[in-house]
Amino acid sequence: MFLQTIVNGLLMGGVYGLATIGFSVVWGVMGIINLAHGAYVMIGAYVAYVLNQWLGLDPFLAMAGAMPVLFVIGYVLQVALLNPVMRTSLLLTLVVTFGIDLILIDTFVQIFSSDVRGVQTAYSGRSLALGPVLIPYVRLAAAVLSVAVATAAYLFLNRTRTGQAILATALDREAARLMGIVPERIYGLTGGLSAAVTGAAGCLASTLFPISPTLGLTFLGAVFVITVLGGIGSVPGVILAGFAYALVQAFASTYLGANYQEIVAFSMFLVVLIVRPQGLFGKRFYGEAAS
Amino acid sequence: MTALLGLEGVEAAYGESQVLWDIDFAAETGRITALVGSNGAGKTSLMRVISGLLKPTAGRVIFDGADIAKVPAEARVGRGIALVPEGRRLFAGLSVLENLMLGAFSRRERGAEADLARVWQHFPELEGIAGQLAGTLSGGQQQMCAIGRAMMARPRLLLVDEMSLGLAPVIVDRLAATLRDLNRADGTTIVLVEQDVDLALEIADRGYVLDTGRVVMNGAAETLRDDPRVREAYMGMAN
Ligand SMILES: Nc1ncnc2c1ncn2[C@@H]1O[C@H](COP(=O)(O)OP(=O)(O)OP(=O)(O)O)[C@@H](O)[C@H]1O
Ligand SMILES: [Mg+2]
Repeated sequence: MFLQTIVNGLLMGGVYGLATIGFSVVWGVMGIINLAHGAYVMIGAYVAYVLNQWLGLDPFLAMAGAMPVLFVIGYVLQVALLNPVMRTSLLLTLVVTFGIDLILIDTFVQIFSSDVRGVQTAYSGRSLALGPVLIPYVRLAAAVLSVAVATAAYLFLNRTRTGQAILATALDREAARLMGIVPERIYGLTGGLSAAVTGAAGCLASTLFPISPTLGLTFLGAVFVITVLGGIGSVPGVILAGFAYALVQAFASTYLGANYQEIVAFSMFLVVLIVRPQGLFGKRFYGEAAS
Repeated sequence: MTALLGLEGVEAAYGESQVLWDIDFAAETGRITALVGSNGAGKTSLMRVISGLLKPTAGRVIFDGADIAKVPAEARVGRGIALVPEGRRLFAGLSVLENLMLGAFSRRERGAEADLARVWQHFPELEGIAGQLAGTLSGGQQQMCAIGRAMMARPRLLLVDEMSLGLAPVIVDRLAATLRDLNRADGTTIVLVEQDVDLALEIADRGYVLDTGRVVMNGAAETLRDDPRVREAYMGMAN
């Protein structure tokens, strides 16, 4: 029971972490708290669902389709709607992203109705038995792929020229301009890439959660908690925090009942916020934009 | 003597409050020009106009024969203008090496190895701490890194705002030697803003004195150095 609970938590943690990276980076780089972030998870899940229905494509392979789709959505929303308002006021960006969220959810209700859907694979329901512990293949694949995509995101930010330009802009926008970096372009790219990574998480989520237009709302709460736990903008911090969050949830669910998992997770959030406002794992990295 | 940079009738403001009035200024090709003046005179504002961070409300900014007044800052470095900003403005969360490589961003890092070797040659202590976060450097190391970062852009016009502020004299001497070398060996045109007027007019060929947003004197550096008004107003404090 105890071991199985740990395994359950670890298997879910990756997806929560991956779903949070984009939110956390957008907050860190641009100071935008994107309330439409959950909708990106939802859209990624629907892309996986549609590709699965039409082409019989495996939901994990659907990431290759969902990431470009979400990149375009994230890029266009950033450049057209968020770049003009992001440096005026936090309140305005909250209102705008809330509006975007409503529009995206409603659009999906119009297209797909509110019916709950699911993606099935040949290996759904099959598990690897390690002694008394059961490891469902779907969850194992989702966890491994989450960490893989997160690692790629981390390496992109830290090892590529464009990633360095993103970090530089986050740290000091004006100094970045002096290097020849165009902030508006960097913001568009950050919005697009963050949405793409989130879309990948949505594909993974399609195998784990029932799919509906409001799927994102369940995620947004978790994403908020994990961002604050992990430290704003920190990819490794967010991944670790994703695991921590999922472990707490798993234990609450096993020992207190499924109804308690959210309550316990959010209580943990409040405690951390009071005791360690910089997050459990996060070093303060980002400068002006995040504050 | 031709001027790589020329300002004509430049005015600038932060919102409603005007800080520069009718500025005529030139940086002659291949020379070092000093810009001095008391706190709040507008030196940094003028550097921001030249680097493109502050849009002038009037006047022309001629660089290499073209009016660049409307060219944004991010496009100016590609044309050959690099600024070592007041306060250094390193990317604190990135390493020394990452800061330096960002200096070559506008050149897409082409030939950056050679430029890096040049920076290490001037500032060997930076090479040993290439992986250290810039935010953890000492003041002197920070200024070396900031000058190195600007060198990586291979500028034709190098703007340095407050080179010596808060640094030990031995460090200041080395930084000054580096600027002289960039000027002599590469022919880099330099504009130097300095609190230490003595130092500035010693390094420079020409000088400008700014007072409450206006140019009040300009001329050959030694002429200014010997001018009793300059001596009284600025060097009394500087010495
Ligand atoms: N961002 C800003 N917003 C409003 N006013 C500003 C701003 N920056 C500078 N000023 C004002 O512009 C004037 C000129 O400032 P500037 O920084 O150019 O002077 P400076 O000669 O560089 O001074 P110092 O020697 O102290 O660095 C000052 O009166 C200052 O208060
Ligand atoms: Mg100044």
